Amino acid sequence: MIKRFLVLGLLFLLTGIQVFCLEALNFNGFIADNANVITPRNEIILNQMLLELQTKTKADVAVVTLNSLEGYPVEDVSLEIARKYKLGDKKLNNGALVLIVPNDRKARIEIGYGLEGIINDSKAGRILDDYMIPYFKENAYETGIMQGTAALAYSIAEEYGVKLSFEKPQQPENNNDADVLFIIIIIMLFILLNRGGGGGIFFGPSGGFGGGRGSGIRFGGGGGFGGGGASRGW
Amino acid sequence: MKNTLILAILAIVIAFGAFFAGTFNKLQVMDENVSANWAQVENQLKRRNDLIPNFVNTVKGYAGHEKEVFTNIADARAKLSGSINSKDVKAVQQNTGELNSALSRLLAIAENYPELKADKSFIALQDELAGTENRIAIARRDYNESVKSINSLIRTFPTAIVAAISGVKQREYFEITETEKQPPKVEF
Repeated sequence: MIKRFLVLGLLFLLTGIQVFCLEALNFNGFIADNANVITPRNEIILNQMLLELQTKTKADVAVVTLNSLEGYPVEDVSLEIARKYKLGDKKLNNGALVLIVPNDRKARIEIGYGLEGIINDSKAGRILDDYMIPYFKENAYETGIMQGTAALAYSIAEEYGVKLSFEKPQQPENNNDADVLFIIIIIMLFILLNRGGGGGIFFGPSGGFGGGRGSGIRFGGGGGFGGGGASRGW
Repeated sequence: MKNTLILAILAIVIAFGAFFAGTFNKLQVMDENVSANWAQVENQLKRRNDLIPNFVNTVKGYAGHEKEVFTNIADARAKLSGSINSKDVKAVQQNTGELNSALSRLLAIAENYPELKADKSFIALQDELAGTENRIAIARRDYNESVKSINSLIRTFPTAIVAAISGVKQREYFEITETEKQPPKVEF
């Protein structure tokens, strides 16, 4: 009897704490791909890119795809995630979140306090407009996410005055060229990663993402977000 | 016998003192937190006030004859910046409501000008404005949450006694009336 009350009480407590009934996020490195639009191969590339950014600038960029917003505004959901997972360095609060909800046709780039000066709202909007939405309109979610996240990471690195070992993404004005370039970037990254990782990224933990799971990655514990960024629907 | 009585009284006094000190400190921290959150609300409202002239000028370039809307916005904006410095939550609340409705009328007008909507600087300013609206909403929510936690502590026993003695007062919520709850946001 007492046990039952305890369980009930615990359940009550848990539901009381959880304001949002969001789907559980299972981060693999910097990525929680609930909508399942990113292939494991690109997840590794993206993680490698974002880890390099984190190592060099302490800035966390997380990428989340969801199946549904459950009727909540995309701004509320992205803020909840960014604060809950404490993106960004604890002191610098330089976190950012790229949130894509393909089924609801909504995307948002959420910017932490520490990055608001670098990525202001209109810049976040431009990244969405230039690198992501054109692809999303054609249901090419993976390409849009890769391009947009790379553009965001590149902008952050540029402002911090560090160089990242991947090419600056091109705006998809001429689609074919951009695709070819993208493939070239991927190939180059693979060559680079395979050379640098000792055993190659698919084998052993030496590459940091051995076995495809980025369990060694942790967010910086910041979480200082105040609603900066931009949202788009398509 | 006497000794145990003295000890018991001493223990009660110490326990009460510890409780008082702990609650007092907690209330001070929470009160400060409310003030900090309010400063954030005012910051974001100021930020929006700073953005508005640029935004209005861009719209003017395409829709210069819609004079009434521009005057309304200028008036509401001036009133709000006056009340921000007065630290009067009620006044800020009311003037924010007025500015919100003036802004939503401006955005409704912008819908009628396709060339304006395609203007790069208009898009950029609109992003800044929408972002600031979002920041205001979040700052407001954070502020109201901190007000809620301090108010409920002040109203409940036994912390109510400590609050009364130390003079910590209940704080005001920053509410926006139902009709203005929708931030003036434009879908693309």
